[in-house]
Amino acid sequence: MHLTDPQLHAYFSQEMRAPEQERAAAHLHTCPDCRTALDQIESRFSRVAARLDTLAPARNLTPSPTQAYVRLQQKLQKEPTMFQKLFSPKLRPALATGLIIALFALFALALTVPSIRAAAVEFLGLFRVQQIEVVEFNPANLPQNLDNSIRNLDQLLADEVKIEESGDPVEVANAAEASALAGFNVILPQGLQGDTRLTVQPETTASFTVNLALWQGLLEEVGRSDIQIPAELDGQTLTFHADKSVTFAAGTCLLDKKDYEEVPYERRNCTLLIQTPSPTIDAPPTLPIHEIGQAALQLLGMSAEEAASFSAKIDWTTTLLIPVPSGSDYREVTVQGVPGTIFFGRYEEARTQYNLMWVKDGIVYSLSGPGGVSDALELANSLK
Amino acid sequence: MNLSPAHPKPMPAKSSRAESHPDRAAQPADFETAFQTQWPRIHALLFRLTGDSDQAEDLALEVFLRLHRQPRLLEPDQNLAAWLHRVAANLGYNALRATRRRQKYEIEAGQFDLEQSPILDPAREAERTAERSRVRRTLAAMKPRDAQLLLLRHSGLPYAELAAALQLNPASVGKLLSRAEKEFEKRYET
Repeated sequence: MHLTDPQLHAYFSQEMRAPEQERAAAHLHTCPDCRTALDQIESRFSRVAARLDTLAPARNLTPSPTQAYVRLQQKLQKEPTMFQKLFSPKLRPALATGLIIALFALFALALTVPSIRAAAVEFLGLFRVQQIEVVEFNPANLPQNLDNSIRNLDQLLADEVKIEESGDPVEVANAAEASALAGFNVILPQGLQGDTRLTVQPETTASFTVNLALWQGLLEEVGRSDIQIPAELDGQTLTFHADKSVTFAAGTCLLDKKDYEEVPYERRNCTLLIQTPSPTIDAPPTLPIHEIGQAALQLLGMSAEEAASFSAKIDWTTTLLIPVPSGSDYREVTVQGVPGTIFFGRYEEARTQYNLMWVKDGIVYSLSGPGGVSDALELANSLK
Repeated sequence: MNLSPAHPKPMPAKSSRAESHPDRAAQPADFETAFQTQWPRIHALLFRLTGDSDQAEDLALEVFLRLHRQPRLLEPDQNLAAWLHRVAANLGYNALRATRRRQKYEIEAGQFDLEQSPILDPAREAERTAERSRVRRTLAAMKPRDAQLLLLRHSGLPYAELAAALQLNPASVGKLLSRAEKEFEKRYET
């Protein structure tokens, strides 16, 4: 019996346990073929090592841990939380393409989780948003290797999702023009100074066919194969439809990425209002909504039982669920005579950015801007 | 509604923790100590992959930013070194591939080498630069797992650490390494 390559490799690397190592040594002593094989492995290892060693950094090129730690602290101070990123002006150009995309962005960014993203489509889908609810989750409980999975997800999803936009955004002069074009009664804030831009965004239809094996595989990849996606979901097609939406931007909003980096926070005085009839989703009536909701909530870190009981209490057909990291700053308010939710992101000590969302008469509104709750409500209640 | 687990994992507040718990053996490592200990290895690994000190530093900082967001990795039951090497190997390998895609790699690496090292022997230096490029090109062309396995092995990780870092069955490490080395040589020579 000759020693195998892996055995020789382990022998050479001294990775065998002592008795094994001794047995291998004894065998090598009597087996010229194995000695030849061992020589080959050793010399291959040395050749590969020599190649890879050319990549080693010169000693003076490694920044000292102390310097690097200072740099890390600087980065940590600058780093916005996931929640802040969610509502950061950086997303504005994307958000400005419509509340739909904004809602997608909320889900895509807040959750960045495969099955949740699938579920997000369904949340919206079922099918008319009438209310907004917030669920807190602890980011530390998210699966650890999400980042890589998300990267793969984009490619995987490219084959699964078909998006059609009809037409281009159209810039209009006033609320009456916007209403005529968008087909619903558009309201605007009063008394804002400075540059404003009013745009009607095109309708969007996206269809999505569920590939169960793909989702289950992604769950496995993030180490949550314990979460079960309902089997009857496989092959079902969900069609998501968003009517025309209207975006109103005031101040420094629509920056491209490069400008964004250069314009300091205090000059980024952007107020953005997005309004759209609630998007709808067509899905088979057999869609196991509560099970999907449960899977999504589990992925956020809830126990199976907790997620099931929470999911059962939610009317997924009318509720837009917004997950936020625990400890986020948000509260319930009354806006335009209906309930709304206001979220805060703090960029710098003294400066706060809000995002206020509410649903009234079938229209979903998202208003974001600089300031606190009174600024938000004053502006929101001035809308007409 | 709060999804926090019954056993919350707070950020390590190192000073107070150290004072209130003199028995540090069972305590989570504090973030700063972990950083100071692991930084040189993680940076070196990323330098090997990118060949660019600045990029390696950025990526290494990114690795530790991620660690900072996941304080539970500092708990004693976690294999922190394995996690750091895994994340670094992934980031570095992706960066290597991305750079290669942009086709700028050799030029940058060449410039970098010229800027950073005193050239005693220009011919020898050019040769080394070409070799480094070729090694990185070879790694970029390999399967990510194989390339990462080689890099981590040749950064000095023992089998058990390799298995933990790349989430492999420890029993299969020898076989995979043996294959990866053959694969490297084959690709390097072609």
